[in-house]
Amino acid sequence: MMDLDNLGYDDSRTLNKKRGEILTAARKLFIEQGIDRVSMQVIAEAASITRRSLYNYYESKEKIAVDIQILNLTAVSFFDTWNILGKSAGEVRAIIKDILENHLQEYMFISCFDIFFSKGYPDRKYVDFMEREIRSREYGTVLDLSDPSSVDFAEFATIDMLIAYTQRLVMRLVRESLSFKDVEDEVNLLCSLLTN
Amino acid sequence: MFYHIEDKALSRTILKTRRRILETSFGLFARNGIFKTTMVDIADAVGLTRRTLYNHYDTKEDLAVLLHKLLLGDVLDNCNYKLEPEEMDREGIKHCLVSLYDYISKDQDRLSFTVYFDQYARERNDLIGEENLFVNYLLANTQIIDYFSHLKKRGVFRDETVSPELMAKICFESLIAYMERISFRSEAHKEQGIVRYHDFVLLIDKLLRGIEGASS
Repeated sequence: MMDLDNLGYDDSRTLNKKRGEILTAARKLFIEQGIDRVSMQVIAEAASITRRSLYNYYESKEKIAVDIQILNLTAVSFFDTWNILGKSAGEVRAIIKDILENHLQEYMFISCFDIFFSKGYPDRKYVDFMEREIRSREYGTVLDLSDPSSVDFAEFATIDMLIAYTQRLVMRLVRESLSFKDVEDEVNLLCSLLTN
Repeated sequence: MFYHIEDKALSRTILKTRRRILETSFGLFARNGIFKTTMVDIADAVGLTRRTLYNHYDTKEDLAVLLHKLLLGDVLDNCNYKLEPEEMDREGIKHCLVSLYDYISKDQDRLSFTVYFDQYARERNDLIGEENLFVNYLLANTQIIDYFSHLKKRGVFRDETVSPELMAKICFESLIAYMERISFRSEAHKEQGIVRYHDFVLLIDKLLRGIEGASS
């Protein structure tokens, strides 16, 4: 059962349950087919409700995708996970390994989401969520995001690259059925190249 | 790049139409993605009937693959990737990688098309073939593997047990992944304003130093 507290709806318990079912069904479809190829009709069918009642919960698939993304990022503790400034290659390797072994589905969705919303987000909800999350974190090193001049962008770029690379690995694992052994060699090498 | 198709057997009018088709479909693919674009969209945008369009190109896969070939040909033409033996050092390779990135990212359409095509090719690899993936194309057409072999011969390679091929693949995979990320960012994260763009050069430098650095 999904915990929908983060999404800020004022639902009754029944509504909440139904909303969870919609999101679960939609996530599966989005991952399998990509967000652009899934329609509201198909989501309604997968969640066993009519299209009309689906529209009572969500006015568009974009809004569904945003909710799934927020739940996903929370579920994988995205911002804590990637708080890797100053961590050693070994620690980073462990993080990436954990993602590949335990969070493939979540990261697949994150990739689908990034691809679909590459031209901007449907509303402020997601952007607000990101800002809130990032501001509420404590970072290991001196990193005050409200003051960009204090941020070491060299380190930041490295993290960015590792996240991007991990997402790509997830895609390759799922779509090209690579073996974990092949992937592990790559991960080990890249981590030792990019981190201390 | 659309001027690469030169076939003496074709009349000028046909060539002109084909160029228009290529130019227009490139823009559509880059803006809407390859999945979402249909042959009807392309025909409408060029101002042809669907039937006429099909006389020139059979499927949108054909079009996408051709455009990708033209673009990559152009990329390699514009990057000084053919290094002379005396230029085969870290600076030379760095220049090659940076110019490659520069060329693709200078134009948002080029970057988007590359990213979309790669995704499309991965999903439809029955149709398009692994050799068309960006990373494989770069591995086959740049000298990065030669450079790594050369380092290995000199005994300054990061890890003796790793093949130059694998090392080169990792370099390109990670650089392409980063490029994709930047391309997503450029639009979506404008509003967010949190993450600034980082210097790609810096990452290339870090990678290359890491590969060479171990024993020096």
